[in-house]
Amino acid sequence: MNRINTLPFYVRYMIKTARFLFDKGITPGAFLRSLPSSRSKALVDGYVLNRLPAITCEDERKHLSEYLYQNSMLPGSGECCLNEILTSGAFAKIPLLYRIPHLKQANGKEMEVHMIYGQNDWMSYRGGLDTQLLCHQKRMDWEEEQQINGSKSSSPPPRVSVYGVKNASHLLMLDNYEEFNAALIIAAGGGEKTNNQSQHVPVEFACDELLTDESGSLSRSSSSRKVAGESEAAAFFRGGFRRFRKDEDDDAAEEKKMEE
Amino acid sequence: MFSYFFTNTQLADRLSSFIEAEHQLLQYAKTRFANSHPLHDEKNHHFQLFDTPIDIPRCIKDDAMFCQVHDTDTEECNKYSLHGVKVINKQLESTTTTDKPAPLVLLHGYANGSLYFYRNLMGLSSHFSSVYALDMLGWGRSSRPKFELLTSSTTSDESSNNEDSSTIDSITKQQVTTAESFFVESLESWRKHHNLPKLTLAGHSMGGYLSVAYAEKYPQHVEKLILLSPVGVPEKTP
Repeated sequence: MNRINTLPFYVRYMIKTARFLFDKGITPGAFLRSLPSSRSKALVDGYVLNRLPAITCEDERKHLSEYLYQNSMLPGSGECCLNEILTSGAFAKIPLLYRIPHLKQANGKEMEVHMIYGQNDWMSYRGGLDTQLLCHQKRMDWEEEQQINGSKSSSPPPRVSVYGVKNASHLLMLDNYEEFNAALIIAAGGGEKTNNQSQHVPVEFACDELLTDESGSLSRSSSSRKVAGESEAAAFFRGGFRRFRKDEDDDAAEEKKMEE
Repeated sequence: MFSYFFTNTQLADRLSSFIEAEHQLLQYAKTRFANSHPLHDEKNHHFQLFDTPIDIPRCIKDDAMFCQVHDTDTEECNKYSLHGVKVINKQLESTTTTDKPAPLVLLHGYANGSLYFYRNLMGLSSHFSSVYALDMLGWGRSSRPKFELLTSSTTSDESSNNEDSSTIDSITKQQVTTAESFFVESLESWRKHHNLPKLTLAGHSMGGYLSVAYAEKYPQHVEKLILLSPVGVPEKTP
């Protein structure tokens, strides 16, 4: 709330209007449908042009933006879930951070959860690493409990792995499809095949507590591949809006924030 | 009142250009973006668009049940349909290895469709014998019922044990669970129809969030959970 008051008034009003509309249940699709069709088409075209520089073929971009545009211009249905599930800052009402550690398979086995983020992703990689840490801590508690109880009483909390895909934003499957495919195949357990071609290999990250812990939480995946720590993760991930922020020459505003 | 007549022709136009764009993207998926896999042969990959009839999720209100768009010819009154792309790798399908990965199910993000994965379908099917990319209920060419849900439903029987359940009031929790069950139930019905015992579930963005919700409710059918830049992981900082 404090941060919003330091912004210029027009930005402030834009954000507040967006929040108001969000709470009223107006989705981006409904907004597009309310515009005249020439405007809305131009909006979607511009969005695709800006967000997906990886698509260089003119025809391909045209068809993709047509696909997106018509998808949101058809009567809205699933899109109305937006304000039921999320709050207006793209946070979940019930965050996954507290839900993933409770996942378990029915037959007493652990669930494997893999999270893949893009390098310029506006979803923060911290969410992934925090989840990993929480699961790790729960796992330690669980192991202690097992030692006390002797027999297996419950299934263990899930293992979480975090991967980073280079040169990709939130839409990582379009931005860098080769490395994304490699990451997904590694996550699904087919890492040996992709290891041979060394050019498109994603980076695996883990929080420092897991790296220092030698007890074998990482033994599954780190056998052949290097796992990077938190400091490397901080250097790797750049966050989503930095690129745009630099364009707008907003460095002065950033300095002001630093002073506060 | 007059708009009724206009909207119907408009809808048909929109739908046909949507289908056109979808076929174009599918064409790209077939011809471009093949990876340099040594065992790769494009003739082995079989692409198919498919519609699956599914049961209507229980959480939808009775008066909102009718679909706003029908595009399938075989239209059953008490069924919805889920649309999607299926890629089958015949080479892998014929081999009978024991550690075959479970079929991959790709869920798209907010305001996208199944063909958003058009660059990945070919590459992924070199590892998975079958890849399904789905339009979730209410998106793409799947059925689009009105999103009016029973808030006081009895569907929230599962008691998810969240650590912070004390801080979230039960009404919000029920609302979220109901909204999730709209997608979770349709996915489960889809899985039943295809008779797949185990899924490798991969969801992008909002799909990632919903696939966690699915794994919470039906953990026995999820082999691995892959979240692609999922939304809603961190807690809201005050």
